[in-house]
Amino acid sequence: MILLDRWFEGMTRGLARRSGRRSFLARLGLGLVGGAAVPLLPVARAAQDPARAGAAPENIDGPAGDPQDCEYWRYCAIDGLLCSCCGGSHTSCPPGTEMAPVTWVGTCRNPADGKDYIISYNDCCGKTFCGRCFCNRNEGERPAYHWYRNNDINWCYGTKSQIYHCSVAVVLGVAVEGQPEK
Amino acid sequence: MRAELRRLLLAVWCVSLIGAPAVAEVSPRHDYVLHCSGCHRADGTGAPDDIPSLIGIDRFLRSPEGRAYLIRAPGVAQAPVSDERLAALMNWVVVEFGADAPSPGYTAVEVGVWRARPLRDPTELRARLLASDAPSDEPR
Amino acid sequence: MGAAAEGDITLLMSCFGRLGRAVACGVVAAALSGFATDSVGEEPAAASSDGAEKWGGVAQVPDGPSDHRVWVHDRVLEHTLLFDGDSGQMLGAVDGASGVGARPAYPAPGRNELYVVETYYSRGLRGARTDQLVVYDAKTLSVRAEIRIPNKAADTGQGIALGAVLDGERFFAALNQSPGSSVTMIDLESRELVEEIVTGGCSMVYPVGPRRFGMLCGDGTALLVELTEQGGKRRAVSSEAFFDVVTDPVTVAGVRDGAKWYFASFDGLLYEVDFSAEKPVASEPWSLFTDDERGAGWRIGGFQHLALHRSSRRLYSIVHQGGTGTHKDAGLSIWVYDLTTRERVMQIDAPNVLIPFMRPQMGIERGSLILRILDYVLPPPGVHTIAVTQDAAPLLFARNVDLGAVAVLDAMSGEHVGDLEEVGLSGTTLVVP
Repeated sequence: MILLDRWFEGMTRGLARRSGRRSFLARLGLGLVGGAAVPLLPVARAAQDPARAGAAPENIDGPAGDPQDCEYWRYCAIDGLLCSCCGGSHTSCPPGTEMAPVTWVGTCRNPADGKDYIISYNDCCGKTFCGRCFCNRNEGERPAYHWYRNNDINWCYGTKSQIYHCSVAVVLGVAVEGQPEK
Repeated sequence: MRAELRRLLLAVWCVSLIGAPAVAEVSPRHDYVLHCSGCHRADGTGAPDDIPSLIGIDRFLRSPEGRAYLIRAPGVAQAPVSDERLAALMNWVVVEFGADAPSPGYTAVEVGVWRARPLRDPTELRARLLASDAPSDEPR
Repeated sequence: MGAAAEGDITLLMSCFGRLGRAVACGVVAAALSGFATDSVGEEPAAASSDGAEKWGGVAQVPDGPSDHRVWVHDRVLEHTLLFDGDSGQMLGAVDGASGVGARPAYPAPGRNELYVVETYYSRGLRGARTDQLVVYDAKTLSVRAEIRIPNKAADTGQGIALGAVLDGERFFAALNQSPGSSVTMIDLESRELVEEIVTGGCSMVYPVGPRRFGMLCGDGTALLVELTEQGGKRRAVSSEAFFDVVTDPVTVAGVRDGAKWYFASFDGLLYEVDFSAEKPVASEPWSLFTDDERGAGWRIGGFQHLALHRSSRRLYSIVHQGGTGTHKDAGLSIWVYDLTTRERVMQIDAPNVLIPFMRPQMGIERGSLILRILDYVLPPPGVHTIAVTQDAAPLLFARNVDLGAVAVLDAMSGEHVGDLEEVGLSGTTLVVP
């Protein structure tokens, strides 16, 4: 019985580690609910892609990174759905949407060269939630009273429609230092 | 309250004449991109109704109250940079989006005084300052 | 959750047996489920002599004890559902219009109403935007009135502190953020817009009196806005700066006790801000964590991550271990403090909300062994949001933003006593009326 306990415990911990805090919620996110329930099981998730699930975030990022992954370096404070999973890219909006000219700006460190970059997190607007690749990272993010570092606000300002679809992360240049809030 | 503000305006105006304008240690353009451009946009045009355009911003420098307004506007006053960097940033912003450089330029001391008194109703003061300006060249 | 409901499932399961029994079985099941529905609604459907039931009945929110009710908000389905925490039954719904956060419902028990700030478009998700305050009857949950407000109502994913019914229930304050902030004041008596109060650099709305509300500002101060008799702006006064937005800001998820609001900083400092005097005053903060705990990475986190049971002065705080930038992460523990002694009095393990989330989706019977095994095997995802009822035997509700279930705990013992299932897709707030 004790052995069985330990086995269960080990399994649970292993799952927690592999799933990871962010990808765990991301995969349980908006798109999955109400659909097929079986893929929700962490067991099924972990089995899908064991090599990647086991990798540390640094390895996932790599020099190029995966713009469809929440852990991609330039998404260090993104809260929303990745346009790269919705028919757009990490720098362009999906068809039929409009990129908000007004946005919030922060910095993220690129592990490939160790430099901080100025990132503009523009929202794409005009269609309802894309519903894919939900991410919520908050490095250097601040509450809404410090609005120009807040990722919680619907930033569909200055667009024809204020309906939020997804978010991009555009590099505006190299930062001389990380944003002060880091 | 109003008399106190007037005295402060006068005092800061005098100090600004003798102090040396802030010189940037970090490129002001860098600080503008990081702290301001999200809302006011890279070209300073802002967004209709929501975010004031910075084009022609130098018109506010015609009065001491307008000069203070540019620092007391909440986005400026509450920017997470030192007084020195904020002064250098605003000196740059005025030239970049206006015609004339502030004369004298903003100093760290002046900026420090005004940012400690952020405006909670910036739109009211802005409207008043613009109303006292020539209506023909009101910035949009 | 009652015996009748469980009986239903057992009964339905046995229906899968022999076909011959299915018909009879179905009739009994239908009768049972009819009974269950009636127990929630107003009038039991009286069958006429030929067995036909009365058609066209519409329920109302039942009278009776309502201390254990909670409004569960869904930002994707864009509505708010009312649940009874004891029975787990859903009692009704109000819509929340469109937006990244949609809008929660704000109850005003004295007026027997609730309010929702709505943004909608003339062509569904396209067309001209219209913002309004929608007034719902709290009993019939039907719309009593619509009050037009400026098209700039704040829309955030958290949906926290975006509006408030002020004390006395005469005025509603609705936050605007575009992205500069202001507050739209609405007279609930005359059903009219009063005015828009510009509140540059300050955001969120914290009610502190019939004609007063507080806000938090980006320069580390709190703002007190005082209103005239008619609900317009009389004056706005700032506190001294008490936190630093760069190094350790407070979250917007404050909890209220009268004219005092409690705010926690990212690093776990608890501030008490008193809005009762001429000018708001923040107390010296105290830490929710010991140095050792902080060293071990314990932090506050989530969305509506604090809850206060006022009469016992118990403060509930969702906590987790993590680094900087994890202030919105879910927590596996809820630590309970006595606000008077400033001591931690209890640690509660957050229930594994995956289980009540999955159970209805997978069709697993309540109380089955499979659920117990899953509970043991599956890593708990933690919770982001909590709320506590204010009665003498309080319930603590806890949810994870992206799982459609709410755990129900005995707030005094911390025991997990039940769940609200199928509460939606994704939501950040829980509102106890």
